[in-house]
Amino acid sequence: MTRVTLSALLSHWWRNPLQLFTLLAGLALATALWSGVQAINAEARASYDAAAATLGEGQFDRLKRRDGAPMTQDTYIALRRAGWLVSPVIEGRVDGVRLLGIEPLTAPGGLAPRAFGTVSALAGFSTGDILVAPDTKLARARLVVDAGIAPDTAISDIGTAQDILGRDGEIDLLVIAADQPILQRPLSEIAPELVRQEASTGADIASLTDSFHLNLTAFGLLSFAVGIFIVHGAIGLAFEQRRGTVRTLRALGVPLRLLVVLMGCELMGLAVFAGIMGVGLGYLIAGMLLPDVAATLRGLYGAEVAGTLQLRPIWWISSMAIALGGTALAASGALWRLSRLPLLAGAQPRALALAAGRGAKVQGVVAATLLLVAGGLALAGGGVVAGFTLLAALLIGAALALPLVLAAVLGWASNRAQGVTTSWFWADTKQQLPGLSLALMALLLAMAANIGVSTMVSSFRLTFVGFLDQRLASELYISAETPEQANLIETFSQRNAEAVLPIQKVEIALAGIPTEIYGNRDHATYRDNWQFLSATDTPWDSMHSGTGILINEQLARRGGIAIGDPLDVATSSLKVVGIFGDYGNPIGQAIIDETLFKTMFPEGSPTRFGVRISPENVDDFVAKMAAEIGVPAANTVNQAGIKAFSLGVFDRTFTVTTALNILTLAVAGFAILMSLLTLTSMRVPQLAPAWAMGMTRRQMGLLELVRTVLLALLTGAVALPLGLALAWVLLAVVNVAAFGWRLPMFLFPLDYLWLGGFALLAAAIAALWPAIRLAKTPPSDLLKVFSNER
Amino acid sequence: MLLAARNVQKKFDTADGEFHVLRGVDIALDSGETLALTGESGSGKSTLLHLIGGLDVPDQGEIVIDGTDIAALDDNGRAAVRRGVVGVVFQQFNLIPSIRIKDNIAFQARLAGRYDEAWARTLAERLGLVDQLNKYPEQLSGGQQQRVAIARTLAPRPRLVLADEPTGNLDEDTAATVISILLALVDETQAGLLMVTHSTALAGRMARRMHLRVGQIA
Ligand SMILES: Nc1ncnc2c1ncn2[C@@H]1O[C@H](COP(=O)(O)OP(=O)(O)OP(=O)(O)O)[C@@H](O)[C@H]1O
Ligand SMILES: [Mg+2]
Repeated sequence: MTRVTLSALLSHWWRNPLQLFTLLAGLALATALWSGVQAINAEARASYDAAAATLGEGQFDRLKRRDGAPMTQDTYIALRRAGWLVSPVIEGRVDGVRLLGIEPLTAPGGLAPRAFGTVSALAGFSTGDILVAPDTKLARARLVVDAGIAPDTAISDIGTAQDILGRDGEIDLLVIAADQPILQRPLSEIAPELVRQEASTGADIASLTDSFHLNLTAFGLLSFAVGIFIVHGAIGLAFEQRRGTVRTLRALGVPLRLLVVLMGCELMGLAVFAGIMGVGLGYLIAGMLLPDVAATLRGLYGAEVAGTLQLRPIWWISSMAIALGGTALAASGALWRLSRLPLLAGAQPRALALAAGRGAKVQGVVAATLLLVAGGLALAGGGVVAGFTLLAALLIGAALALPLVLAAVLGWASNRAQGVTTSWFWADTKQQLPGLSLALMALLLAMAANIGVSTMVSSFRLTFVGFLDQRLASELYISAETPEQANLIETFSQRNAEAVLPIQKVEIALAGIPTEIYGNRDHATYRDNWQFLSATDTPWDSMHSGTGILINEQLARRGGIAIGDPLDVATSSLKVVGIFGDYGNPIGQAIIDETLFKTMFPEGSPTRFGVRISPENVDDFVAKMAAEIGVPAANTVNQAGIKAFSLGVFDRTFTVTTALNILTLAVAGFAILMSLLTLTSMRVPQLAPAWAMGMTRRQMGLLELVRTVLLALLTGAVALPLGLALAWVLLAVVNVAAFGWRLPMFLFPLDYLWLGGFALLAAAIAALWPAIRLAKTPPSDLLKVFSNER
Repeated sequence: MLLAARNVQKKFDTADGEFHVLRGVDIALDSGETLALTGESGSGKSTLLHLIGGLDVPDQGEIVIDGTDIAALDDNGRAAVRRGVVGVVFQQFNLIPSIRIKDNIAFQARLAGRYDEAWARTLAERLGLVDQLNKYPEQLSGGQQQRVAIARTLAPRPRLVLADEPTGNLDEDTAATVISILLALVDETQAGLLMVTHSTALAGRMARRMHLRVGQIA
């Protein structure tokens, strides 16, 4: 009995391969979208974890020279003698690979690679082994591959590294172990030239890259929601289409329980198959996007992400879970309805509009509650968790409210309709709404996500480009290798350019927060280009008079510092006269006058210079400088180059977001297609009377198309404010909570227009096929409605 | 006694309140006996047939088939009755659209675990379906589909055959032929036949005749 029943159930797919395809494609697409986003996120995160694990970055405090120059072996020995548990590190680049020299015996646990478990490994390391990640291109002897090492990083003994880098006896920084003896002589006595950088800030790339991942995580969550909607639609389709067969099977004596079990198993089988296809597809998508994602992150934040993809069990599992879990969720509802279906009424089309009546009230109450919660959280604010709760409440509330809003609009329109065709159209549309609402909710979420995320990314880009204009106002930047060369560059530039602006900084702690402090020369370049988030009337005058200080937003927020507050810098107290935006910088930044800087930090000397010169003279200037004072062109950076690079980075970010945007919309379009296909089979009885009364099939097909586009348009009208609210929450609530700075929000009406057009296109394409099928419905099918048979 | 229905009552809940379709119907039928059920449209013929076929449950009364009161059975029990004891030729055929004619004919017999290839072949020949065996239901005319439904019902050799206007879609001549075949086949298997029909001519070919009026046997 089981075999006969199963083969009858399965034969449906054999006879309707297209339906099988839509079902599998729906499931696979939902899985692919989710797993693609997951893969990108997981891959990038895994790379950071490897980086953090090998370098101990962010885990330990470190000591560096105030002027950034290397320190000597003597300083290190003096500190160890004074009871400081520190370990030396040297950093450099070889063949494009970051080489890190450490001392395995003094390095605190967690900094040294995990491979040091055995004595022989340690012995090998001490005598010249170089540990590298798999596939690292380094032309050296004695490479040892270790999967725990970050991509493009090599780790060796400090002696080996000093040899390779040609920097005998030099140390770049000292890592301070977490537990220190109580009796220590203070740092200022032993090595006053050293500054202590606190853990989790100095080189903590995680907090920055998280800003980008937030973007992707938000996308992931939304694609999850969209995916669930689609799985639900696909499963509904699978049941709807076989309603007649199921009824016949039951009438012929197949027990209901057997049917439920068989259909459950069948769907799970299909879900497994589609899930695997989806994971594969997601892998392909991620693989295509990942080089861009990696480049984006590397360019933005200097984080190393391996540009390759591994199939990680965790996202295998999570992707299959969404395919199977989503199917189980959707199928259990459908199976439950099936089991309660009266045997004799099974083939009748469901009175969808009627069924929606009571549910609508409950749905309305839930939606209103969620939106109220979202409003409350937006006003109360605070915390990343609250931010994400706000996001969830907002999105789910809006999705639930959508069908009610649409029903209200359609009801209003049908009341005002004049002609017979128009009023039939509105009434018919309203009747179709319950069947389409799942797909429309998916479309709403997809569009809102696109608007929200692209607003966020575009705002980020605009802010950042403005910020670059401000920061890179000079036409040319020159790096100096030594203080002597710095002097040469300064005098040469004074003679050959309009102005030269030395860039000098030291790292200190202000209000207990690690900060880079700069000494700026008074010049129109700064006065004209810089914009403050808040400032006194004359920030530049106060600062250059030596009484004021300018600080970045991060320092102001973390230190709770406001305009007018006094701030202790080295020996004197300065008044905060301006706060500027400093996007993407993890640590504090402050600016004081050049003269004051030199008296406070006499050991510092400028390492870079900004040169004001008309752009067409840049090349001549660089050539002449190389010839006269021997500074190679390699030490100069053309501002245009930096900006182009930064914009290039953003363009890659856009490639990723755009690709995900298109994918989400395509998937939402697919949901519409499936819903329409489900509906058309049930709609013949509704359409037949209209046809019999003189409407042509062509007309009905056309109206079908118009209807779908119209519903998509109305959905878009709801999606726009929702997407903007989403962007606002991401920029003004979540980002501040997570990273300490608020991104200004900009609006991009043209982008939204494009997006809307694209969504309408997706909806129209999705509706096209069902519309054509409708226009070609054989008259005999329509006639059957009037005869006894169905 | 193959079938004994006593005081069968059935109500439907409709938008304008309860609708009492069957108000206490009694029927008795022996093996090998044929009974025509007539009545105007909407009098409850199909409803009664569905109750006897175990497709629905009466609100009151008992329906004893082969000594078992199927009105008292649970869902599974009634499914077993539908599979193995009674066969229904539906007014709307109810063929499975996705499988071939030959599999449709064999379907119920396979479900019941009583598939006999030679018998299925005989049925197809007698009902003139030999050329259609590899087609799908949608490729057949209404009359052909109706004959497939008859073959499917008879393939497991049910003890009781219920037919709801099995010739409603056929012209008079074909209808007469099909009924002859049906009667002959029922006679061969010694099953009981209860057939709903509007045609007095067809009803006249059955051993007994019952008329249903306002939910009661007239
Ligand atoms: N599921 C149901 N819900 C409500 N009323 C029903 C239902 N099924 C049947 N009826 C009503 O019960 C009455 C009898 O229906 P039934 O199908 O048994 O009539 P019939 O005698 O077979 O008619 P016909 O000769 O036209 O086939 C009809 O008035 C019908 O409207
Ligand atoms: Mg009837």
